Amino acid sequence: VSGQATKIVSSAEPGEDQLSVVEVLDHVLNRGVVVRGSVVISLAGVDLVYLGLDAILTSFETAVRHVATSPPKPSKP
Amino acid sequence: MAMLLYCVAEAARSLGCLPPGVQGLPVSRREHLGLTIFYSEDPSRDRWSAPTVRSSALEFHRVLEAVFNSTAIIPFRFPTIVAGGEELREHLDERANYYLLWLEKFRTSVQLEALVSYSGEDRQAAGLRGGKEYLRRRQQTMAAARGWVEKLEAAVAPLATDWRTAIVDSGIRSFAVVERELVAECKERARKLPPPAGVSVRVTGPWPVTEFLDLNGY
Repeated sequence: VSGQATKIVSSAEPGEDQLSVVEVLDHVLNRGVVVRGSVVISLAGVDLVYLGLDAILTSFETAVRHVATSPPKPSKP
Repeated sequence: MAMLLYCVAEAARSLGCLPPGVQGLPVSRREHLGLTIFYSEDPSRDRWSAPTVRSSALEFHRVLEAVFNSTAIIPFRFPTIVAGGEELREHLDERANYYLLWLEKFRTSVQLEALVSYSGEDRQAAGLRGGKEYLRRRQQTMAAARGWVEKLEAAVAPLATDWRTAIVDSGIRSFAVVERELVAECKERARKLPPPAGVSVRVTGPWPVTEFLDLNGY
């Protein structure tokens, strides 16, 4: 018994070919290089990656203080 | 001045026009040690609040796509921000050989992905037939999903230079590295494989090759 058709989707743009925003977010937030020595903080369930405390923004100071007391996460692609 | 990093590519690759960057910031490029790095300067604090994370991530994706359409890239995870040019140079001095190695290896390659998901029909059936029936249905669905992935691999792997499959909570993810010119053929082969009942399949791509980057030994 067959289910739905296999959906073939381009990665060009959310909305075109039904590429979902979730898939794009999954890629830009979870794939790719993490800079070694970076600090990862989480805002609204989204991991934000920074290198260098100088670049961390004032609005995140509370989160940064929390992260500064946590063990660093390992780098991975 | 803080810099938001998008991606690196091999230097001297011809590129088309780039779209505006995250939050309308211009996208700049800088060459160093055989690499071109794409970035935006001065991502100020006002640009980074929770409601804008989603739209900013999509704008980030558009910049990656614009570069990736012309050449292989290694993306940075969004948002990766360095404090300034000195920190960027230090990072590239440390990583340039690694980036160049992988950019050369995947110069003409892209990544295709298949997400094979359990559609939830078995869960609905469980409500009617109880836990034992649910588990039996679930096992059948998982076996069917594995069978479909095996068919996909048999059809597409001969065109791929690398192949990887991972079990995830929602089902099975498969990743293939293929030459750009073979993307359409791979998709067509996948299209000809209808998924079994209780299973939904999405084949997406081309994406930059990220699943096959290996930091081991670096």
